[in-house]
Amino acid sequence: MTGLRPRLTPQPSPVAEFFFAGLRVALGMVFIWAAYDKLLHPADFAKIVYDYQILPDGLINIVALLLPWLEVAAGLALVFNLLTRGAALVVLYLLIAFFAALAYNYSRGLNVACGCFSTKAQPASILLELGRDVALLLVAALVTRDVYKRTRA
Amino acid sequence: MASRSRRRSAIAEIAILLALACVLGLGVNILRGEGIPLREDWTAKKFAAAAKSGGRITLDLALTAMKTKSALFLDARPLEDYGEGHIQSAQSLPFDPLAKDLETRVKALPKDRPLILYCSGVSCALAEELAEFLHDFGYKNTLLLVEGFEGWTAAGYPAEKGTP
Repeated sequence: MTGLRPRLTPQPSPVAEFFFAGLRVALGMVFIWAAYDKLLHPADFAKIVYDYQILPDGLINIVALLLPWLEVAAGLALVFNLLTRGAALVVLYLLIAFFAALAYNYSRGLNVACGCFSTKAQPASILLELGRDVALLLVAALVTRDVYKRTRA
Repeated sequence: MASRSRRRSAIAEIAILLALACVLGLGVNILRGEGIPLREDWTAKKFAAAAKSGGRITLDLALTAMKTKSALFLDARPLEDYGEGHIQSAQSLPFDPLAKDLETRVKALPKDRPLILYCSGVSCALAEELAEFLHDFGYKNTLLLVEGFEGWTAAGYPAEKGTP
Protein backbone atom coordinates (compact mmCIF):
# COMPACT_ATOMS: atom_id res chain seq x y z
CA MET A 1 0.00 0.00 0.00
CA THR A 2 2.65 2.46 0.99
CA GLY A 3 4.36 1.89 -2.34
CA LEU A 4 1.41 3.41 -4.16
CA ARG A 5 1.31 6.54 -2.09
CA PRO A 6 3.91 8.72 -3.77
CA ARG A 7 2.07 8.37 -7.08
CA LEU A 8 -1.21 9.43 -5.49
CA THR A 9 0.11 12.62 -3.87
CA PRO A 10 0.06 15.60 -6.23
CA GLN A 11 3.48 16.60 -7.48
CA PRO A 12 4.57 20.08 -6.35
CA SER A 13 4.89 22.62 -9.12
CA PRO A 14 8.43 23.48 -10.29
CA VAL A 15 7.84 27.07 -9.19
CA ALA A 16 7.06 25.98 -5.63
CA GLU A 17 10.04 23.64 -5.66
CA PHE A 18 12.31 26.46 -6.78
CA PHE A 19 10.85 28.80 -4.18
CA PHE A 20 11.42 26.40 -1.29
CA ALA A 21 14.92 25.51 -2.48
CA GLY A 22 15.68 29.24 -2.50
CA LEU A 23 14.33 29.65 1.03
CA ARG A 24 16.40 26.70 2.24
CA VAL A 25 19.64 28.01 0.72
CA ALA A 26 18.99 31.53 2.01
CA LEU A 27 18.29 30.28 5.53
CA GLY A 28 21.49 28.21 5.43
CA MET A 29 23.51 31.22 4.30
CA VAL A 30 22.06 33.41 7.07
CA PHE A 31 23.25 30.84 9.60
CA ILE A 32 26.74 30.63 8.11
CA TRP A 33 26.98 34.42 8.03
CA ALA A 34 25.75 34.67 11.62
CA ALA A 35 28.42 32.26 12.81
CA TYR A 36 31.35 33.89 11.02
CA ASP A 37 32.21 36.64 13.52
CA LYS A 38 31.66 34.32 16.48
CA LEU A 39 34.09 31.78 15.01
CA LEU A 40 36.76 34.44 14.69
CA HIS A 41 36.33 35.81 18.22
CA PRO A 42 35.45 32.98 20.62
CA ALA A 43 36.52 34.90 23.73
CA ASP A 44 34.29 37.86 22.86
CA PHE A 45 31.42 35.54 22.11
CA ALA A 46 31.95 33.71 25.42
CA LYS A 47 31.61 37.03 27.22
CA ILE A 48 28.27 37.64 25.51
CA VAL A 49 27.09 34.14 26.44
CA TYR A 50 28.06 34.98 30.03
CA ASP A 51 26.23 38.30 29.90
CA TYR A 52 23.01 36.50 29.04
CA GLN A 53 23.18 35.15 32.64
CA ILE A 54 21.35 31.96 31.74
CA LEU A 55 23.97 29.21 31.66
CA PRO A 56 26.16 28.20 34.62
CA ASP A 57 29.75 29.43 34.46
CA GLY A 58 31.09 25.96 33.64
CA LEU A 59 29.14 25.74 30.39
CA ILE A 60 29.85 29.22 29.00
CA ASN A 61 33.02 28.48 27.05
CA ILE A 62 31.87 25.10 25.73
CA VAL A 63 28.69 26.66 24.34
CA ALA A 64 30.65 29.60 22.93
CA LEU A 65 32.96 27.17 21.13
CA LEU A 66 30.36 24.73 19.80
CA LEU A 67 27.35 26.89 19.00
CA PRO A 68 28.87 28.77 16.03
CA TRP A 69 30.10 25.51 14.52
CA LEU A 70 26.68 23.97 14.93
CA GLU A 71 25.28 26.96 13.08
CA VAL A 72 27.85 26.52 10.31
CA ALA A 73 27.25 22.76 10.05
CA ALA A 74 23.48 23.19 9.88
CA GLY A 75 23.83 26.14 7.50
CA LEU A 76 26.09 24.23 5.09
CA ALA A 77 23.82 21.20 5.28
CA LEU A 78 20.84 23.36 4.28
CA VAL A 79 22.74 25.03 1.43
CA PHE A 80 23.98 21.74 -0.03
CA ASN A 81 20.81 19.79 0.77
CA LEU A 82 22.60 17.19 2.89
CA LEU A 83 21.25 15.83 6.19
CA THR A 84 18.48 18.27 5.41
CA ARG A 85 15.86 17.07 7.86
CA GLY A 86 18.27 17.18 10.77
CA ALA A 87 19.65 20.55 9.70
CA ALA A 88 16.18 22.08 9.35
CA LEU A 89 15.25 20.86 12.82
CA VAL A 90 18.52 22.09 14.36
CA VAL A 91 17.92 25.55 12.87
CA LEU A 92 14.32 25.52 14.07
CA TYR A 93 15.26 24.49 17.62
CA LEU A 94 18.11 27.02 17.78
CA LEU A 95 15.83 29.86 16.72
CA ILE A 96 13.30 28.84 19.37
CA ALA A 97 16.07 28.73 22.00
CA PHE A 98 17.38 32.16 20.90
CA PHE A 99 13.88 33.59 21.13
CA ALA A 100 13.41 32.19 24.62
CA ALA A 101 16.79 33.56 25.78
CA LEU A 102 16.15 37.04 24.35
CA ALA A 103 12.59 37.17 25.68
CA TYR A 104 13.66 35.97 29.13
CA ASN A 105 16.28 38.70 29.46
CA TYR A 106 13.88 41.29 28.06
CA SER A 107 11.29 40.31 30.67
CA ARG A 108 13.71 40.65 33.57
CA GLY A 109 15.08 43.93 32.29
CA LEU A 110 18.61 42.81 31.39
CA ASN A 111 20.02 44.75 28.49
CA VAL A 112 22.40 42.28 26.89
CA ALA A 113 24.29 42.49 23.60
CA CYS A 114 22.44 40.17 21.23
CA GLY A 115 25.49 38.32 19.90
CA CYS A 116 23.26 37.18 17.09
CA PHE A 117 25.28 38.24 14.05
CA SER A 118 28.27 39.90 15.67
CA THR A 119 30.36 39.81 18.82
CA LYS A 120 30.38 43.62 19.05
CA ALA A 121 27.97 45.25 21.42
CA GLN A 122 25.59 47.19 19.23
CA PRO A 123 22.87 49.44 20.51
CA ALA A 124 19.93 47.61 19.02
CA SER A 125 16.36 47.32 20.09
CA ILE A 126 15.59 43.98 21.63
CA LEU A 127 12.15 44.06 20.03
CA LEU A 128 13.83 44.30 16.63
CA GLU A 129 15.98 41.30 17.51
CA LEU A 130 12.93 39.34 18.64
CA GLY A 131 11.12 40.29 15.43
CA ARG A 132 14.08 39.17 13.33
CA ASP A 133 14.13 35.86 15.19
CA VAL A 134 10.42 35.33 14.57
CA ALA A 135 10.86 36.10 10.86
CA LEU A 136 13.66 33.54 10.59
CA LEU A 137 11.54 31.12 12.62
CA LEU A 138 8.75 31.40 10.05
CA VAL A 139 11.18 30.72 7.21
CA ALA A 140 12.64 27.77 9.12
CA ALA A 141 9.16 26.37 9.72
CA LEU A 142 8.33 26.62 6.00
CA VAL A 143 11.62 24.98 5.04
CA THR A 144 11.16 22.17 7.59
CA ARG A 145 7.63 21.51 6.36
CA ASP A 146 8.82 21.41 2.75
CA VAL A 147 11.75 19.14 3.55
CA TYR A 148 9.45 16.70 5.33
CA LYS A 149 6.95 16.79 2.47
CA ARG A 150 9.60 16.06 -0.14
CA THR A 151 11.13 13.20 1.80
CA ARG A 152 7.83 11.45 2.49
CA ALA A 153 7.59 7.65 1.95
CA MET B 1 6.29 2.73 10.01
CA ALA B 2 7.50 5.27 7.51
CA SER B 3 7.08 8.10 9.96
CA ARG B 4 8.97 6.28 12.67
CA SER B 5 12.03 5.57 10.53
CA ARG B 6 11.90 9.15 9.33
CA ARG B 7 11.96 10.45 12.87
CA ARG B 8 14.85 8.18 13.72
CA SER B 9 16.82 9.38 10.74
CA ALA B 10 16.14 13.03 11.62
CA ILE B 11 17.51 12.37 15.10
CA ALA B 12 20.50 10.59 13.57
CA GLU B 13 21.10 13.58 11.31
CA ILE B 14 20.92 15.98 14.28
CA ALA B 15 23.42 13.74 16.11
CA ILE B 16 25.80 13.88 13.13
CA LEU B 17 25.55 17.69 13.01
CA LEU B 18 26.17 17.93 16.76
CA ALA B 19 29.16 15.61 16.50
CA LEU B 20 30.56 17.69 13.63
CA ALA B 21 30.17 20.85 15.71
CA CYS B 22 31.97 19.20 18.65
CA VAL B 23 34.89 17.98 16.52
CA LEU B 24 35.26 21.27 14.66
CA GLY B 25 34.71 23.51 17.67
CA LEU B 26 37.12 21.71 19.98
CA GLY B 27 39.60 20.87 17.21
CA VAL B 28 39.87 24.41 15.88
CA ASN B 29 40.14 25.77 19.42
CA ILE B 30 43.17 23.53 20.02
CA LEU B 31 44.76 24.22 16.64
CA ARG B 32 44.39 27.98 16.61
CA GLY B 33 46.89 28.38 19.47
CA GLU B 34 45.10 31.31 21.06
CA GLY B 35 42.12 29.18 21.98
CA ILE B 36 40.01 29.71 25.07
CA PRO B 37 39.96 27.36 28.09
CA LEU B 38 37.01 24.97 28.17
CA ARG B 39 36.01 26.08 31.66
CA GLU B 40 36.36 29.45 33.28
CA ASP B 41 34.97 31.00 36.46
CA TRP B 42 33.24 33.83 34.66
CA THR B 43 31.54 35.52 37.60
CA ALA B 44 34.82 35.70 39.49
CA LYS B 45 36.56 37.00 36.35
CA LYS B 46 34.01 39.72 35.81
CA PHE B 47 34.04 40.97 39.40
CA ALA B 48 37.83 40.71 39.60
CA ALA B 49 38.04 43.00 36.59
CA ALA B 50 35.71 45.46 38.30
CA ALA B 51 37.72 45.27 41.52
CA LYS B 52 40.93 45.92 39.58
CA SER B 53 39.49 49.06 38.06
CA GLY B 54 39.55 50.74 41.49
CA GLY B 55 36.96 48.55 43.16
CA ARG B 56 34.12 50.32 41.43
CA ILE B 57 31.12 48.81 39.77
CA THR B 58 29.06 50.47 37.08
CA LEU B 59 25.32 50.98 37.48
CA ASP B 60 24.63 48.55 34.63
CA LEU B 61 26.79 45.76 36.02
CA ALA B 62 25.25 46.36 39.45
CA LEU B 63 21.79 45.97 37.92
CA THR B 64 22.87 42.68 36.35
CA ALA B 65 24.25 41.55 39.71
CA MET B 66 20.96 42.44 41.39
CA LYS B 67 18.80 40.64 38.82
CA THR B 68 20.93 37.53 38.91
CA LYS B 69 21.55 37.66 42.68
CA SER B 70 25.27 37.20 42.00
CA ALA B 71 26.27 39.77 44.62
CA LEU B 72 24.98 41.07 47.95
CA PHE B 73 24.08 44.76 48.17
CA LEU B 74 24.93 46.58 51.39
CA ASP B 75 23.36 49.92 52.21
CA ALA B 76 25.84 51.88 54.36
CA ARG B 77 23.43 54.73 55.19
CA PRO B 78 21.61 55.09 58.53
CA LEU B 79 18.65 52.76 58.97
CA GLU B 80 16.11 55.63 58.60
CA ASP B 81 17.40 56.41 55.10
CA TYR B 82 17.31 52.74 54.23
CA GLY B 83 13.67 52.57 55.36
CA GLU B 84 12.70 55.50 53.14
CA GLY B 85 14.02 53.69 50.08
CA HIS B 86 16.87 51.41 49.06
CA ILE B 87 18.09 49.25 46.21
CA GLN B 88 15.86 46.24 45.83
CA SER B 89 17.15 43.24 47.83
CA ALA B 90 19.84 45.34 49.57
CA GLN B 91 20.67 44.64 53.19
CA SER B 92 21.05 47.50 55.66
CA LEU B 93 24.48 47.83 57.25
CA PRO B 94 24.84 51.42 58.51
CA PHE B 95 28.47 52.34 58.89
CA ASP B 96 28.76 53.60 62.43
CA PRO B 97 32.15 52.73 63.96
CA LEU B 98 30.72 53.36 67.41
CA ALA B 99 27.90 50.87 67.03
CA LYS B 100 28.57 47.88 69.24
CA ASP B 101 27.03 45.33 66.94
CA LEU B 102 28.90 46.42 63.78
CA GLU B 103 31.59 43.81 64.23
CA THR B 104 29.16 40.92 64.73
CA ARG B 105 27.08 42.07 61.79
CA VAL B 106 30.14 42.25 59.56
CA LYS B 107 31.28 38.81 60.62
CA ALA B 108 27.89 37.39 59.65
CA LEU B 109 28.35 38.47 56.03
CA PRO B 110 29.00 35.79 53.41
CA LYS B 111 32.61 35.54 52.27
CA ASP B 112 31.90 33.74 49.02
CA ARG B 113 29.79 36.47 47.42
CA PRO B 114 30.90 39.81 46.04
CA LEU B 115 29.61 42.68 48.18
CA ILE B 116 28.35 45.83 46.51
CA LEU B 117 28.42 48.84 48.81
CA TYR B 118 26.62 52.13 48.37
CA CYS B 119 25.41 55.17 50.23
CA SER B 120 23.36 58.18 49.13
CA GLY B 121 25.39 59.42 46.19
CA VAL B 122 28.72 60.39 44.70
CA SER B 123 29.63 62.71 47.57
CA CYS B 124 28.91 60.40 50.50
CA ALA B 125 31.78 58.60 52.24
CA LEU B 126 29.95 55.94 54.25
CA ALA B 127 30.25 53.19 51.64
CA GLU B 128 33.94 53.79 51.14
CA GLU B 129 34.60 53.72 54.88
CA LEU B 130 32.55 50.56 55.21
CA ALA B 131 34.67 49.03 52.41
CA GLU B 132 37.87 49.76 54.34
CA PHE B 133 36.34 48.32 57.49
CA LEU B 134 35.33 45.16 55.61
CA HIS B 135 38.81 44.80 54.14
CA ASP B 136 40.23 44.69 57.65
CA PHE B 137 37.95 41.76 58.36
CA GLY B 138 39.14 39.86 55.32
CA TYR B 139 36.43 40.83 52.84
CA LYS B 140 38.44 41.63 49.75
CA ASN B 141 35.65 41.13 47.24
CA THR B 142 33.95 44.48 47.75
CA LEU B 143 32.78 46.81 45.02
CA LEU B 144 31.73 50.39 45.35
CA LEU B 145 28.66 51.68 43.58
CA VAL B 146 29.89 55.25 43.46
CA GLU B 147 26.67 56.72 42.03
CA GLY B 148 24.86 55.56 45.18
CA PHE B 149 21.13 55.35 45.72
CA GLU B 150 20.57 58.70 43.96
CA GLY B 151 22.24 57.46 40.78
CA TRP B 152 20.34 54.19 41.04
CA THR B 153 16.92 55.83 41.23
CA ALA B 154 17.88 58.42 38.60
CA ALA B 155 18.57 55.52 36.25
CA GLY B 156 15.11 54.18 37.03
CA TYR B 157 16.41 50.93 38.51
CA PRO B 158 14.26 48.95 41.00
CA ALA B 159 14.07 50.21 44.56
CA GLU B 160 11.93 49.31 47.55
CA LYS B 161 10.91 50.81 50.89
CA GLY B 162 10.75 49.62 54.48
CA THR B 163 12.98 47.97 57.02
CA PRO B 164 13.14 44.23 57.66
